Amino acid sequence: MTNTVLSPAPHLRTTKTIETAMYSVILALLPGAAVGMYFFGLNAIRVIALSIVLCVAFEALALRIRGRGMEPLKDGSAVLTGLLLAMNLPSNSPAWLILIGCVVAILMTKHVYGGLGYNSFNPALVARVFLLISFPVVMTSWPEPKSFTLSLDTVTKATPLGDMKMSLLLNGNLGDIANMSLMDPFIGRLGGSLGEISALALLAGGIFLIARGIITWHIPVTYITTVFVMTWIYWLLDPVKYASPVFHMVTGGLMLGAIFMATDYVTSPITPKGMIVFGVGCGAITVFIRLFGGYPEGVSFAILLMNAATPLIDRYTQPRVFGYPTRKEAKA
Amino acid sequence: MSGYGVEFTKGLWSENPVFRMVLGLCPALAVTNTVVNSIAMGLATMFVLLCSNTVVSTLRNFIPDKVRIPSFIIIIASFVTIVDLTMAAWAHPIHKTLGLFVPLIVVNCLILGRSEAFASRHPVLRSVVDGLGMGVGFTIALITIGAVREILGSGTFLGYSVLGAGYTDMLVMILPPGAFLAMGALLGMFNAVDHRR
Amino acid sequence: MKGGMARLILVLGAICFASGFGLAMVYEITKEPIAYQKKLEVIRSLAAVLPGLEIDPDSQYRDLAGKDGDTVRVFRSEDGDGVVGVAFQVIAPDGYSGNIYIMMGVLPDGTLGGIEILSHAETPGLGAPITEERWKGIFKGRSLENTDLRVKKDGGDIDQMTGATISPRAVTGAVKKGLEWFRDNRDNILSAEEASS
Repeated sequence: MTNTVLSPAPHLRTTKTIETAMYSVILALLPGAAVGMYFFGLNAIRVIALSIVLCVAFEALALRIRGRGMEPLKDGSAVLTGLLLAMNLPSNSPAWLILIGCVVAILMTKHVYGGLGYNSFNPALVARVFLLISFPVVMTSWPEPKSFTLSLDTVTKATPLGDMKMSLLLNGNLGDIANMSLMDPFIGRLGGSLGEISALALLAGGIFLIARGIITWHIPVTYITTVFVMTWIYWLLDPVKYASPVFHMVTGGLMLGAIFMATDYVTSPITPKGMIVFGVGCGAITVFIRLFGGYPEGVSFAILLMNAATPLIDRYTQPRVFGYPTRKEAKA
Repeated sequence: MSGYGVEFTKGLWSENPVFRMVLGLCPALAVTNTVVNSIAMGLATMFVLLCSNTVVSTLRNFIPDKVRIPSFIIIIASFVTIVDLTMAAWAHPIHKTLGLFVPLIVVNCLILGRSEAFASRHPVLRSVVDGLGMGVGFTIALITIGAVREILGSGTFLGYSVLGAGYTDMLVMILPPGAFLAMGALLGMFNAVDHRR
Repeated sequence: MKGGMARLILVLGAICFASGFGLAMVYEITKEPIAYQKKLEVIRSLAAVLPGLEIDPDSQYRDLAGKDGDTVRVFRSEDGDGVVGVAFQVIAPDGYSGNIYIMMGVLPDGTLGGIEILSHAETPGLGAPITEERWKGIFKGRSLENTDLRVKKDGGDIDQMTGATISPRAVTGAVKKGLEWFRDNRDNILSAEEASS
């Protein structure tokens, strides 16, 4: 009986396992990663490979230290964290930056709290924010995207959101970005993190995940809709100071965050109602940071803040237990 | 008289105010972004602790139980004001950096805690030794946190470069979150060492 | 109970009295050194922005109307022939976090003697290099005529530091405004007689 596996509920079996979920998400991320590789070249491949290898290595190390055996290594969550982290970094990230990121993600955010399923914050996002606050210069020197090249030399370029904040600060208006073509960022030709640049590729991955039933529509759709509606209202109020909602859709990390990081099973609410609250909260915080905050981009902060609120949301959106009266009925 | 050694060393390890009793966290987290600040805050706190322990212990049979807390607070606040004025007069730059956190020593629960739990129940000499041990333990704890934060966050120790020019400062460590990270890591290490024993 | 109550009041009163007495004494002792330290601080900043010139901050100043209806205290260094240099404080309100207070020294011909950052709350390590000598030194000898007082990123002549543009931009802007104010009020600032206002 040494093969007995002890596991918590639910005990109803489904063909869906942690592995299928993780590998589906990885699969869905590939188009976005491919666009990154196309525009940023060998550098992007280096960052992705290094990040995944290091994350898996630290996962193995953590499991060893904690005496858990190597079984959980197969679930693919470390590979996913590595890939997500890489997609959140500039493509010219030096190796030491990736190393620190992986330590923060796997050791500090995941295993200190007890490993997969116990962490309250998304590991890749915590790592990104840690790096952004620690090394703002390195983390915001985005290489300019160009068609595939083997050269490792890059010219750095600000993100459209960064340009917008700078121009608002300097001239009080949106500057060049008011007139920029929105087709480029939609496909992915803009400055930014390795994997956030192509809204199109990320959307395709998201549709794949929803179609396969890996994630539900609630979080991504409410998140993106909230951002759209709020930026639209501000845009109508003052188009000189606030960019169009479409601009906010296709730039920055919104698609990557809404589809792949806000939907992390472990750190987001369980019920559909809770997910909607979560998505709207993420959207509102993102818009507030983008329009009024010190940082040009607010997706990571928004998702982390809502991660912190997840236990509370879950508590208030608990479905009625079968056979028990609702609170109203109980009072009556 | 035996036991004075134990009275002193308990503040260093087994009852270390920061790492074992988790007291006095406001200064331990707020001003430990450099080692110099840590030392200054540690010494200021130690002075107040020593003086208040002495006075409280001397007056312990004189102060009625009902007004002991206000009495302790007045005594502590007086010494804090003395430290504040003295630093402003003769250590102006460091007083400027520590700013509000010097007056805030009044509400450091470590000091009131020692008055209430130890000095008001023990003879003067024993209270002095206790205050000294706790003060030294607190200072060492602050310096430890300060060293971790300064070395990682600025690549320096006491202002001297230790990690070389090629090091990229890990800014988060000298910002407020870094205090919590350093504190958490050190607490974990202390616990791990304790478990081994 | 009445005797008990009296004792409480008496003890607490005695402690308050002793504490008040002690503090009054410490205050008397430290009053002069603190005032001296504050003056020293001003003297140091004046010496930094007007190297080689002597100013007594207690007497050699004039309070003038600033641009926005505020009062600017202009410290003036004089020799036999008149004013040889002035220094005044400007505030950069658009730093990354909070105001940046800057002392700037201006020579009678409108060139900068130097600048000194008095206080700031910029992110340590990122915006804080504005306090470094090598950056502040850039301003020496600059004037509205010989320099485009904007950071290089905005098309001007002042080097910003890598990554952090906001703090240098704020300081540069404030210095430029200060110089413009000096240019517009030059006669008033340099005149021997107190202008009637």
